[in-house]
Amino acid sequence: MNELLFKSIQEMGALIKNRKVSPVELTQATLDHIAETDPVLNAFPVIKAEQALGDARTAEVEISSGNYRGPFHGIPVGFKDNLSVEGWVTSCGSPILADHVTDADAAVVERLRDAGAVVIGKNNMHEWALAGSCTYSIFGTVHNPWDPSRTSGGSSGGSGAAVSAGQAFLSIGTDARASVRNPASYCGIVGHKPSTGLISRYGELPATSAWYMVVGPLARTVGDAALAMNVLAGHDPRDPNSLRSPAVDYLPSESETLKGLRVGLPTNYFFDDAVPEVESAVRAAARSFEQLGAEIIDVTLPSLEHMQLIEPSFESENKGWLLNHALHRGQDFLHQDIRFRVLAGAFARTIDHERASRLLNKLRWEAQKMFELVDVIITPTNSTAAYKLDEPMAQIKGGEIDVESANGQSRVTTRLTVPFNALGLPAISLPCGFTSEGMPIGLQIAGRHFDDKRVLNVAAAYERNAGPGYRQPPVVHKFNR
Amino acid sequence: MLSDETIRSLILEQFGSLLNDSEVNRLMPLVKRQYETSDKLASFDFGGLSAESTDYITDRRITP
Repeated sequence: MNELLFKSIQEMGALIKNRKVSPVELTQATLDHIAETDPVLNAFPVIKAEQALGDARTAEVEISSGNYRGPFHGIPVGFKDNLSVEGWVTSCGSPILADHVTDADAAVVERLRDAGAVVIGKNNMHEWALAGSCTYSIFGTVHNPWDPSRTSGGSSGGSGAAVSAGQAFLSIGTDARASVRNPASYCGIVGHKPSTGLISRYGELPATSAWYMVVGPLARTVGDAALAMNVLAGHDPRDPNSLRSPAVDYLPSESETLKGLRVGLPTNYFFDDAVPEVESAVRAAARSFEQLGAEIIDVTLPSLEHMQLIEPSFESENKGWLLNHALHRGQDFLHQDIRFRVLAGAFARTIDHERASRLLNKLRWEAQKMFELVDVIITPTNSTAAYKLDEPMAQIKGGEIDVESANGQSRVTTRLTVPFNALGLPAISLPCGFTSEGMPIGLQIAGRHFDDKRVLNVAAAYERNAGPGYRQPPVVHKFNR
Repeated sequence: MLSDETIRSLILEQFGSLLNDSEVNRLMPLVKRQYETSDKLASFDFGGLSAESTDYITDRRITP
């Protein structure tokens, strides 16, 4: 195993810039590491080795000629398989799109290529990005690098497992309910769900107008996620949900402190299902914030109790896109629960959407009031750590949940993250501890719309001063030579 | 609460012969839940702006 593969992008970027590390050698080492580890993880099912090595050679020539493009120049990255790359298949993990060759790069692919990144391949995902695991995919199940008998989370689970295991320095995922933050939490890395409208969704499949779905980075450090935001954020007229925003340097300052920061700690909803180890890790994080100079303030969002009723206000559009496939190509759904959820979605009526939207507006109003009192809110990312793939039930506070059913899995994997999709707010997950079984626990920090910089700053200050930070998962040591 | 018979006829009306019996049976509890969600949403008091105050939203298939 090559220790270079576990450096941060900030560190590796400096080594490449100073020509201490060759992008070609780094890309080859990455490809070798994927070849060794992916039979266990199944996180990187699509590898374009020749193209990646060609891009790495180009990067090397450019850097040698004094044309250094910035911290991503020569850095190996991956993309979730619902983000299109010109000339490659983009499958969304579904047999229905198994031969679907896309003819253009997604905006986020374009931007990272322009920054000089080396695109290694595509990361595995849950079929149609419609579950918080990666159990069902045309490429097979993704396994967690902290314990391959457990889920990686999802739906960007291939991205989470790959970055955690050193198969890429960065992967770009998508998040409609949890899909960047959940695998980040389960795999012990950082995942940032940006504010709605901040990063272009052009080239994300399916091409819906689902405003609550966003594209976001998964990285090993908060600083690396912030570097990615510097490249990815910005208006794109090709995405109708893209908003104009001021140019911001998202990279947190090392001197940033938490002194005077007002941090909300929820008194309802977010700890209802949390197992004791998760709750105590998050409450310990809150005490760390206090010790670092922040003020902890109890906050309540009463309408979250109706979150399940609010969801019809925004989720039917995405499922509607799949209705035709669910009716006419039912056998091509690997996860039949998804197919039947799509079919059932056809019975949601306009009046339901209207009423759910009113409840959502009530929640928005409560959140606005809350963010007059606090600057950020901290919560667990999930109520539990990653569950076992071969056990149908997962333990939550006060009982067990059937994680083989779509609803049960949703409760375990998306309940604590989906409110911030509904609200369009930035939210990051980063490690805050480990269970007694050695599985990572995620802390979620959310802030006001377009206040992504503050969210990243706060996360970086916690990571630097109190959090466990990124640790190499046990699976990579199996291949240590 | 809608009867199983009503749920089944709603599914058949919507999807006709595109689903077989076993698929209809599997879908029934999910559709039932969808209508339960509708009932819960309808139970909220949204004040004078409630969509209940207009009659075009009445679904004659499920409203006696």
